[in-house]
Amino acid sequence: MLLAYSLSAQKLNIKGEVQDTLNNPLVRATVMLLDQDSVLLDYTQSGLDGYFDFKKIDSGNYIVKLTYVGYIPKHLDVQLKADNVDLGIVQLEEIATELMEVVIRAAKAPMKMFGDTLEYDISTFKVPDGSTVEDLLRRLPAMEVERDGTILSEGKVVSKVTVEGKSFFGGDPKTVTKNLPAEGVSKVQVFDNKSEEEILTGIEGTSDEKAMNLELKDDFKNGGFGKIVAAYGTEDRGELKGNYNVFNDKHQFSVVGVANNTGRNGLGWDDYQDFMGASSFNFFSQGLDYGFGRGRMMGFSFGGSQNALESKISSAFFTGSDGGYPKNASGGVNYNFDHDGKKAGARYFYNFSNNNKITERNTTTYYSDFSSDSQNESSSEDLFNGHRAELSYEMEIDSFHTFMISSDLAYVNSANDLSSLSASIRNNGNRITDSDVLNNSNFGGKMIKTTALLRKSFRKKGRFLGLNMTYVYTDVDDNFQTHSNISFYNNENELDSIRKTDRFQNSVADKNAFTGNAMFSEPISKNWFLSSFYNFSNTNQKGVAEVEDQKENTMTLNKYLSREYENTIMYQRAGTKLVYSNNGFNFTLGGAFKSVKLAADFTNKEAVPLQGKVDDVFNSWLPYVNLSFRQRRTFRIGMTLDRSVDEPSIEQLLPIVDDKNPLYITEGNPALSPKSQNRIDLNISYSIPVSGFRVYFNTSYNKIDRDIIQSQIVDQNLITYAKPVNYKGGSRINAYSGVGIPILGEKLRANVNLSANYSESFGLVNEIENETNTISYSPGFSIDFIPNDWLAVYLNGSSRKSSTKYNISTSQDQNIIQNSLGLEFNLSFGKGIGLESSYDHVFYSNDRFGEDTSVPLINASFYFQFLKEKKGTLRLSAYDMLDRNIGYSQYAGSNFISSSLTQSLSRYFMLSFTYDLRGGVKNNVQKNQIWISH
Amino acid sequence: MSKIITSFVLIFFLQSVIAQNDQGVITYERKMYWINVSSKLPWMTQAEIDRDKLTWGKRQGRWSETYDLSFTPTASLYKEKESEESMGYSRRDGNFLMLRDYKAKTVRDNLTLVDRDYLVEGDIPAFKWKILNEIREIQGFLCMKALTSDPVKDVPVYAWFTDQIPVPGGPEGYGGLPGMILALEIGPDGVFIEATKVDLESTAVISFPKKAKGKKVDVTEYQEKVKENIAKAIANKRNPFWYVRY
Repeated sequence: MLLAYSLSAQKLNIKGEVQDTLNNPLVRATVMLLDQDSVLLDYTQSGLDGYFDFKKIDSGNYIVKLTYVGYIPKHLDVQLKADNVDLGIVQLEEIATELMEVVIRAAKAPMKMFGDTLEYDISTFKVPDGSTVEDLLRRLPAMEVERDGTILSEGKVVSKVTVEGKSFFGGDPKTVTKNLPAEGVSKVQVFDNKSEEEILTGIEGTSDEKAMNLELKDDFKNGGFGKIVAAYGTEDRGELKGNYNVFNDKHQFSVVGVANNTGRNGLGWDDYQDFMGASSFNFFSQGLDYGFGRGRMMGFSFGGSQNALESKISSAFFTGSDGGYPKNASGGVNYNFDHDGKKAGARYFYNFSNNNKITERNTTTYYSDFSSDSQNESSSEDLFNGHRAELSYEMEIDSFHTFMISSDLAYVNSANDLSSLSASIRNNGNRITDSDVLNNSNFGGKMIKTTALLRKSFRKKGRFLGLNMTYVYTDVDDNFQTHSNISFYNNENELDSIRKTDRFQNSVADKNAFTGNAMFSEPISKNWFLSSFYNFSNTNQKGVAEVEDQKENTMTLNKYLSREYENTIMYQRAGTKLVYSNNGFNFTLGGAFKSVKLAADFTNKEAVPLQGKVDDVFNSWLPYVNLSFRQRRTFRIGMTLDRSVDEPSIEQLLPIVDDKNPLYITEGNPALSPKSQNRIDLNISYSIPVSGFRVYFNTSYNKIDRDIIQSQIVDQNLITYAKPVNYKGGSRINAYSGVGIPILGEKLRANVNLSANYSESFGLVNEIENETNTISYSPGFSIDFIPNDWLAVYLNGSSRKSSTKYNISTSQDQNIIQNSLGLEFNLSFGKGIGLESSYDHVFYSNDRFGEDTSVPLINASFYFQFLKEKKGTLRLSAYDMLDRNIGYSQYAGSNFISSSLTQSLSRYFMLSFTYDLRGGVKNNVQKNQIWISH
Repeated sequence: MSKIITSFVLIFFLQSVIAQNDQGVITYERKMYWINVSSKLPWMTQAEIDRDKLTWGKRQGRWSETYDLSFTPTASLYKEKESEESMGYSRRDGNFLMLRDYKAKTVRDNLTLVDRDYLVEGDIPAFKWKILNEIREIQGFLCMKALTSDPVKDVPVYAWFTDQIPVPGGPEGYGGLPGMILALEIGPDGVFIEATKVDLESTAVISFPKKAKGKKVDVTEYQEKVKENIAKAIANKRNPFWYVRY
């Protein structure tokens, strides 16, 4: 007797023969050898006689799995102990034709077969919306639903139905199938229902009944979140903000509202995405004019004034504060739908703002033989109310066509009151003018804009057609009143005359604009593409202005200033570009022809009416070259050369004198030619994403070859007469570069950047050319130190020095310096308590105004999170702790420099409470990547 | 005589059964569901995950890349096919070429990891496949489901393989099953790769360019480098999968 135990494990064989149920051998059937956990160890194919074997296998427990196309896979447990195993004839059963054709081939649904369980994925079956499970089951092969709702699977009654393994309303199949919607079901599993007796005895009888289990779809099960913030503070500051959101796979609904008098917007990026949901980055209304760009959705621009008539709702989330004492209230609702290739969105937004401002301004203006200083004090109140609605619908008609249509509506009105006192004196101390002005304006406007877009791709890959059209209608009504007293002094510093004006003006205007764009792209060969575009727009504006003057309580029609006008601008552009692109290298060569036709008709109410006409066509050729190279994610280089032409505006062309402002009188020039400039742009960037190292360099050179500038004639009373003329143009070079260095991984990072600008520009004053050269340097740095979860320190600084030289009088050369230093310090003490603080100091220095100005701002807040899951946060904040906030700015122009000071909110304290349905974030000291809104 | 006829019929029948299914070119489409990938990163808060799903959720899977796998019974070559639909803008994210030799059981890859090129050469990595019980049809071939774990990212990977193409190959360097892999689910919901065209008529041309450049490493070394990059990025709270292949 040989030892049953040997040092090396026994090497045994497993063999067998594969046949179908008609005893035919199955040739080239796949036979797999798996371990007990179904892990593949080896595989082979059956031979011409259906024979297969595995040799030299260690003893142990295995599974032999056999498969053949069209047959149910067979799964056999094999125990190899001491002897070889002969599985004999293994018969494979064919898969029922119906299952094969309907489930596998037609529905392309995966089917699971294991022992007596048969399972298929319903989510791939097409069922009309609103169908119940019963409707679904009627479509499944081998399933029948009788008139009374009884379900039969392969002829046997399904007596029990569970949902996700749990009984549903007592498990009566008919309750389930008639009540559960089909679109929620992802899988249907049917198996033999073991009767109680079988379960007890373990003996499998021929069960005449089956059981069914339904699994539900998992993705985006109903979600919802929301937040509410209430705050109140000293100086009567308060804020109330809330947002709420519910969504599932098809629908999203959100609502947002904020009201505050703190001057901070209250809404930021996170709020924008929470409100807009899937419409957040819906690029379709941008980049409609195609042009030389990549044709599709490049550059989504945010911001822009939220109070302009044609702004989008998104602007409300990104506007900054403006100084003064503002009050804001805004809110809206948004609904998005996305299902089955169709997307729709509808939203409404209301915006209210009220701001009171008191501003002091000082301006020094340089003339060839003297200079003047003027001081102005003004106080204003702005009130704005706007209602906006946006609707959009997008549909994938088929795999080649996409259609989109959208509509924006706006109804706004605003009121502005301004009272201002000014005085100007010469450098020898003599007064020039004194004025006091009181203005009031009321503006109301309506807008409707509709855009439709079609994208068509063809069977030939790369061939593409884009078409879009937009129609805009606006209607505005403006009421304006001005009351002014201007005193003029002569050279002996004596009062020469006083001009008093009391003027009332009402203007109405409407605009109709139609735009159409088309683009067609054709691939010429593997690397060459040709693309052409055509743009057309026609804008027609009509308006009537009625001006009345009040003299000693009588209102007289000012026939000179009352006027009627109609302007039409027709714009056309056709262009082509040839693109070579291969292996990360792209070269574009293109050119466009642009034609702008300006027509205007202008008349006033005089007996012999002053009439103005404009009828001009401006044609220009615009070349375009672009090179870009990107061979890997880390390095990019690009260069662009282009030319742009800006036509003069109708106001600039109309040969009419406009003396609405008695100190600055303008007149048009019908002989103007367009402004044209050439530009070259270069950018390079290199980055290593893992560590966050980044270096980039951008530079651009811009040369205006023909400019339109104001030629000013200033008389001894310092009344300026200005007229636009063509003149040689200046140039501008900008360079911007930066390096981002990770010093200690993500714990310590530094960024250093430098921007430099040089510009040369020309002005004409009293027919003397004035050349202004400005050089400015602005180095900056930032250091982020986040050593652990409870501390984050952000330090930043920048310095901007701008040096301006005037060739008419070098004694007026300017150096303006603005330096800033900032520090943000966030600390988390654990247990939901933390501190956030920031220090920002700006230093303004100017060698002309003598005194330097320095504004340090310190903000700090303590917060405390409580309630379950940290859903509640209590925050105590202090703003401008040093009480130093002033709205200061300084500017150097072509022949003047000015500085202004606007009274702004200074020191106040606030207590706020936030309730977040989602639960607060634990110990979060890090800043969001973009903007924080609290 | 009847025996001769029977054997002819038998041979004829067998020829049609034993079809030439062992060489050709398969075209795959690869889609990355980036929200599913980013929501698994350790520092993402539920608020950020919800917001991403709300904004981008339905846009995942709209963009895809195309790859070609040329194969013979002894070797296969997998590389990217630049989409003709890119509308005249070419963008390369580095090199990507994978060669498998089934006779010598070796690999030869030219890959770019972040900013460096590598020439990976060595033995075919062994995958531990668990054979499951689901079957599905892809491009007319009946496929069976198998499960393994990605050696670098340690996530589940499902493969659908068909024994009707008896070559142990597949996309993305996966293989070792009793048939060609026609679909892959990595993550399992992060990246979906599926065959969109199976061409068994054209002759497969498998050649590795002589001028392929890169630092020579073996398979284990390369996998270690990828793991290092992923770990470093996660430690820096950056999503590694924007520039490391998922």
